[in-house]
Amino acid sequence: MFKNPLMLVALAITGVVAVWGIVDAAGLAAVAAQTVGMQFTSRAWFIMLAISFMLIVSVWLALSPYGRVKLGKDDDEPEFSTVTWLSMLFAAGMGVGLLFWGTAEPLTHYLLVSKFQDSRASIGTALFITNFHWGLHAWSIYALTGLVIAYFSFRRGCPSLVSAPILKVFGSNRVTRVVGWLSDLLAIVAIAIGLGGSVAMGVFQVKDGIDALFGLQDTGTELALGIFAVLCISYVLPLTVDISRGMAILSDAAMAVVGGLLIFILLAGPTHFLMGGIVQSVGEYLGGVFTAGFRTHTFLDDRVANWFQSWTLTYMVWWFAWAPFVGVFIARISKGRTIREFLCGVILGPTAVSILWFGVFGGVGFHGLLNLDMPILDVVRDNVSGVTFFVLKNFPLSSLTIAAVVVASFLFIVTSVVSAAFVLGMFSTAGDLNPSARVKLSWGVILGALGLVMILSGSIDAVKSIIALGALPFVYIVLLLVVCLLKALKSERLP
Amino acid sequence: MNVDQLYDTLSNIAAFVFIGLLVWLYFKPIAPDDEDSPDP
Repeated sequence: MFKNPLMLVALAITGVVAVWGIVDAAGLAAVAAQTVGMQFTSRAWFIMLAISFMLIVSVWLALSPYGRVKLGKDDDEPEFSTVTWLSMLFAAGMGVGLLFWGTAEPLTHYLLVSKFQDSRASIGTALFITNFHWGLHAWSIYALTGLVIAYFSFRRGCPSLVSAPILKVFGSNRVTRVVGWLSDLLAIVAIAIGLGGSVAMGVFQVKDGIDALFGLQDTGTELALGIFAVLCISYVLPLTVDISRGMAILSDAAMAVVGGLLIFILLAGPTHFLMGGIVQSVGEYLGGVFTAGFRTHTFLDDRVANWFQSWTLTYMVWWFAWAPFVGVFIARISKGRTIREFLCGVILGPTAVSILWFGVFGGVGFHGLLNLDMPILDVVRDNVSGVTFFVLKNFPLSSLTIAAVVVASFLFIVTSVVSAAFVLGMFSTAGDLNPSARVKLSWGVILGALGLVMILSGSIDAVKSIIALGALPFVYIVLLLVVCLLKALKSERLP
Repeated sequence: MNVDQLYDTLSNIAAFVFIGLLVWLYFKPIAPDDEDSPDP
């Protein structure tokens, strides 16, 4: 392990960030916010152009004759049935983020939008913005990255590494080896820091759930650190022994809890209001999604510019940061599918689920605001991670549903850390599909330390800045990978 | 020109160069030994 320079440099960089954050969390958050702010100000146009490029290329590839090319040999058949495959994609797309932001994000956008628009019209805009952040653009980033990995692994016989397409397409020379090595390094850093943020978000969510469940107040960082300690103990075992089947069962259990919760809220809540909102969201989304991908808000004032940086741009680079991690997963389950099937399934399926999810959880929040005079906007301003539980308290069986969210969040974090430690181990050992327990444990420690940094930073805004700092360079790598794919496809003999 | 403006200018020049590089790489001929496509 210690003869591997990539592993050492990657561990050193992420380790330095972790130690810096533990010693001076506020200092790290401030530097991250300032650096990211400067980069977002000067490169907003580039990021928006990049996400629109990803969506346009995805649509073009799906509709073009290249859509018939198989991800594998021409006689390979898909390993999973289409229904199982789609449900596994949903599992990759759901996770702790949707549990955290389901109600909170649309309401947060509403706080700003309602300053410019009529308050009821603002609801549609707030849901549109949320769907834009979690929709076609986000999934086209995942899909194209996954497609590059799947195509070069299964059809060209390359290892599942970010550097492999670069070396395959441009040949192995000093320049491509350096670029490839840096690409692997940046992918590792982006995944590790991005996952640290998710750990923190999950811990904040579990903490607020426990507060809501037992009526606790002002538990502060102590309870979060306690939950974090339990989390660390929980993921040590899966990293040292191979219990992948057990992990799959845990992941399925979390998905079942989340799916059950969605149906329960839809049926036990104001169903006609929620369904009406969902149908309207679909229409508004389809009508405006393409132009929204090019919207840089350049001519609006500082309030909108700041919001645009801390939400839209942060989300988009976050998707880029997660792209190699999610990409490896969706590539592994998609062998034997055509490019057209892959792109349609990966982009359309999870986007539809996201619209449904935010329609239900966001809709419940807006229903409470408009019709029940709930002080939900105060909760959004004061404690964003407690919003989901505030909503659930107004439903029957609230103790049960709150406990379900707490359990699902915890399971999502454990399975994410274990999967990420595996992918990081694979990336840092030249594509070894069975990285040793020592390598996975090293990454488990780093992921835990980065999660601790984000928890100590104490705020979601700081978490988002630190993630964006780690993710920004990876935008360039993903674009380079897409060029590799397009170039390689030119030499395909079309079926 | 202050430091922020200088950063902004250099950062955007880097982005223009990167876009140009991607276009150039896309049209650059593939090295002969890498042209093998998989068996149909």
